[in-house]
Amino acid sequence: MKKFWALFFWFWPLVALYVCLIAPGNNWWFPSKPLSTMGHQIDGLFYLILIIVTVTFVGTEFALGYALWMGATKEPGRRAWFSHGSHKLEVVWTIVPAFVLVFISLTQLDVLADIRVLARFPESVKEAPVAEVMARQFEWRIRYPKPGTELMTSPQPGDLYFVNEVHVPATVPTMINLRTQDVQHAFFVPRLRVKQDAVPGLIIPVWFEIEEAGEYELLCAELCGWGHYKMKARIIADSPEGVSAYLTRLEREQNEDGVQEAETASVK
Amino acid sequence: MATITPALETHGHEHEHAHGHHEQTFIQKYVFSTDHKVIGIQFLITTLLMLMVGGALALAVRWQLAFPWENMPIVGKLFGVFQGEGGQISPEFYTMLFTMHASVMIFLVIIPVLAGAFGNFLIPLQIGADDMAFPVLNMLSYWFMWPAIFCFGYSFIAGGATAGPANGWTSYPVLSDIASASPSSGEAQTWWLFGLTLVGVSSMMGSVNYMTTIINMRAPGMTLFRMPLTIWSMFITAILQAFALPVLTAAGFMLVFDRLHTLIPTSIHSVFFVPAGLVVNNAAPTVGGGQPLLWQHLFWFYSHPAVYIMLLPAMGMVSDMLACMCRKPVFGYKPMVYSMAAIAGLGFIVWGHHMFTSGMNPALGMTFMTSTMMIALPSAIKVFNWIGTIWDGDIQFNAVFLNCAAFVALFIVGGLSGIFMAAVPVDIYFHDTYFIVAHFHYVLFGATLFGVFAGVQFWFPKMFGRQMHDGVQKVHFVLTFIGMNGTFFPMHLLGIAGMPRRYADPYLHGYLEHLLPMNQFMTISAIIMGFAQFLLLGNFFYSMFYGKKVGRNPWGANGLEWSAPSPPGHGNFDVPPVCYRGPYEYSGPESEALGQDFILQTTAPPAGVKVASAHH
Amino acid sequence: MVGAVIQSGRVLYMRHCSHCHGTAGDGNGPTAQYLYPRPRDYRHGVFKFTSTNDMSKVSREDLLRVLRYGIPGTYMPSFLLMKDEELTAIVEYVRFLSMRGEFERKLVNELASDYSEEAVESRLKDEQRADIVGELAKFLAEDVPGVVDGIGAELEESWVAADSDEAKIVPSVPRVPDSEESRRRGRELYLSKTLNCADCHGIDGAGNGPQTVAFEKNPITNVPYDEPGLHDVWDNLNQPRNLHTGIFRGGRRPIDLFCRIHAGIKGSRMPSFKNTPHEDIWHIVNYVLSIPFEPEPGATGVASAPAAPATEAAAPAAGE
Repeated sequence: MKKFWALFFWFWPLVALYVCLIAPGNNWWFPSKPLSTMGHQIDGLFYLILIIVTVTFVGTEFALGYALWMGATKEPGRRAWFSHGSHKLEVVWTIVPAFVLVFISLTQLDVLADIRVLARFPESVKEAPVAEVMARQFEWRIRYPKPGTELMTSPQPGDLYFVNEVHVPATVPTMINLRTQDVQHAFFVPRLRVKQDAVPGLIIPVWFEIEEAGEYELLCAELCGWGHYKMKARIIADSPEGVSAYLTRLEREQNEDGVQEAETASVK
Repeated sequence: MATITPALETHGHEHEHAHGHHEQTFIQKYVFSTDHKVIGIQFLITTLLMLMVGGALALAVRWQLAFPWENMPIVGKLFGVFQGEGGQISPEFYTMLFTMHASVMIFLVIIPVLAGAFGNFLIPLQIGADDMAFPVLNMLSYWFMWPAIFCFGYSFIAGGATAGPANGWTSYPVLSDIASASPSSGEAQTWWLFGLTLVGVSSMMGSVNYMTTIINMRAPGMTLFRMPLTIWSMFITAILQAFALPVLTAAGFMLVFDRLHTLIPTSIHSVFFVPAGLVVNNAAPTVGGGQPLLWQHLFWFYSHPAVYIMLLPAMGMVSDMLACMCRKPVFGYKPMVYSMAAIAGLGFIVWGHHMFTSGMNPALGMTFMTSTMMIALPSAIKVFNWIGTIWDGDIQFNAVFLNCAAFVALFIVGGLSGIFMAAVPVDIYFHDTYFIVAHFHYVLFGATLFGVFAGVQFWFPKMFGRQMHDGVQKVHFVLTFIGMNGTFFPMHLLGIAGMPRRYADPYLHGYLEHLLPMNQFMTISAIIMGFAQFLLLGNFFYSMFYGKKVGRNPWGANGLEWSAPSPPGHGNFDVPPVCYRGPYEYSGPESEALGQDFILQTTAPPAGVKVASAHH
Repeated sequence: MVGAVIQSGRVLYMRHCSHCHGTAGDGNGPTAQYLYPRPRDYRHGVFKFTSTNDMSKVSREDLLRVLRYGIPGTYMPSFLLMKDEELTAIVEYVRFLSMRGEFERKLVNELASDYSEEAVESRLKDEQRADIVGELAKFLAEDVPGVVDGIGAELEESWVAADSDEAKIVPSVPRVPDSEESRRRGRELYLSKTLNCADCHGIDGAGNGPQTVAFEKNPITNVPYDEPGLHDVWDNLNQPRNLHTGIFRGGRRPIDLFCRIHAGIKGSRMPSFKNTPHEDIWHIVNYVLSIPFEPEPGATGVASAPAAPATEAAAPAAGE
């Protein structure tokens, strides 16, 4: 029975590892490969940490299991090893993890700076957000500047509005202004690895560079009330021409006076 | 530092004094008792019952995640409102469920079971004192739990049957601040805040008491470095509480002032956390100049140290129990103490890692990332030392040991998953996904609760003079361990798959739809784990009355508590204890000389043998 | 196959809608009590924001539009990302709930006038209970089938008509180009005695006209409401819009605003101005769209002279 317990403590980390190994094949992994430039950096760091952590996990859990195995197979009557510790070992297992942790920490700094420090935002986007994304309970209200003008912090005549769908150019750096109309929300785009809280009272610039045109889920990741899970929206990445064509179409729709439509209908 | 001889006299006096209390009524003895042991047991039973409440709430959460919008058993019928919906709960009710699950588990289970139950019971016994320094304050610290439980309980119904507090246990403004922002944000949230404040009052009374007792009331010979690690951990925890809690209390009062008008319409209505111009629930724009991030800073300034308040005592207790069950000294006693102190110290400068996506200045984020990385170091040292403690020991494979080993095994997982989140860029992706849910459940359930399970069984003989049934505890261990991993390990994968936490219906989002079967598996595991706890409760209460009777030192342990009668009478020790050595001298030459593998801290060395120096 | 669509609509409705709008569409699900404004109660068969004439029901297209884009300024969120067939199914189910609710209400009204507990009690003063019971039995046997058919036919006709071309509002003239002049004309109309917008929306469009503080009576029971202000047919307080916020619940396209003025907002106190010349409605639309950007409330002058001299004229007056 003693050996059973030692095996028990060896067995479950193996199950855990096995589950992790089969996870990508079963679609229990990232929703897709990262599709933004900084997403690659984030995933790279993730896998770096994952390797370090897996090695540590296997090592420590194996050592723990082995310690149990030693106890389970001990011949009766032999006394336990009387030891108060080892100064040498303590030094080793303080310094080695310390180096690893400092190393992990340092490798992150640059990526963090690229993502968040305004001074390091790409020059092309710094001054020109493409849209304002205003979160509210429980949807995303988007405001684009009137084509040919710049986005102002307050609404302007001719601004274009839409809901739950943001059109941004792909393959070039893009910036949006994130705000909230009521409580806190968070702008979370899993496939782009982008997440930023929307804080009441602040306008927060968020930049990313989407690598492929397509649709990306946008959802809320900060508890914003009972309908938190309902904040389902999407980002549509398109060629810059596609985006401006969309905005032209949106402008036409927004100025709809009901007459044009009726005329074209009667022509048919 | 205490010395050996002069204290003996005082002790005799105290002892006599203690005997003068024989005519205590039932109420004095068991209800409004000032005896630290009774208070400790009161805390323990209260928290075990609250554990079941919190667990029931968790199962309701899991039900919704596995079978979204299906008729929820019991709850669906409990409130008339859901009957019209076919027992389908409403989203705000779901929000309430996870909020109250966290609140109950953190404030009414984990914190009070460690500091309140074990702290109270063990501190005087392990340092050889006859009671706490301030017994009445101690009694009050328990009885302030009840108004807190009342406030939390009343908050369930204060706003109506479906609108309990539902702003997350972190209670972030503006959601928790403006009454119309969420259904529960009216009266319910205010009562919840009162509950939080009262828990703080209770903890604070405990913490000053522990510090004073540990500093002033140690038995002769009980130098600081002869204290068991349990006492060290309680001492460090008490310091953490005392320094961090005022900040939370201040923040709590600010939020109460912001929302007191929900209870008393004519009262103060401040806007500490509300900026101007918000349009909430389609009302007129707010006025004010508050800052919601302020709450996050203040809240985490307490709540991050609180994470260690919820862990350190379990670490100390597990060190004690592992040494005893492996019949070996703790590997690296002083590094263990220093690493706990380091965790506590660093614990004060890492709160910002909860706010990496909050819009805080990125320069701060870098600082917090580095300090957070560094806090993994003392945790790693502790893990290595625990493994060193088990290494080549004479292991007693009972449920106490198994729970302790599980503590180490699961703490490794919880600690390692923390590294992902300490790294800001990676955390940007993982923040508020199920990855973090997995992480803190591995630490708080996997580590702390398994430590508590072990501790309950280990010190049960000292509490009641009887032993818990080991076989039942082993079954409980296996079921809980399997259920726990089955529930929480897949959460890592859910987090990697990008499933946000606090979603009543994640499957609304196409890229999460395929995770439903996994959630169902997790819910089944959780149900197994939940029902396994009845084994613990049953064993606990059965053994209280019918367990095998045992003597003073059933485990062959070294601590001072084991030299007292089981259960100890009022005043604890029949022979005033004098401490001659450290707490972990298992299997050493001294014990060998006595023909056993342990030697009580109180066992006097044979005449002519010099007492080991305090600072070896 | 209509049944299948409604059935899948029901499943979707229970998942996405019922906790606010209620299982029966009575606008009283568990979450409803916390919302401002209250969710729609479909059982009146009345929907506020439509592109149909003032006497017509809501069209499928209108309901679809509300589902897609939500109603800004309320808790009705946008369900833009749901598939078209899902949205269509929900629309069908909502129409079903409305028709069922309306049908039941009408049937109950038919019976209630003579046979409600209250009516029976007052009739008992000079009639025998047995007579009333006999009369009721006769009514149920002979008249009710006809009544049921009648209500059914009436409902069918009105709901079918709502999707026809005749029901749809089509302005007879295209939008008058937005200009200072047009806005001023709009403001003039806004303040005029005939349209009297300011009576509710206030002189400056802040939604604070005299009617907002008057005590209204419930038009059916004739009992005054507890709180002052305008009420809708669902008996909820429903004050006129503050036009400065830039939030237009029925949509911000010019045609949306045109429809709001032309057909009114159904179920609310916003009346239909269908007899107003369409050109004038466009002037008002232009004015209303400009209100959020006015430098100060009421800055659009009403005099036929351009705005600038008007302020100049006012300046010396202030100086005196």
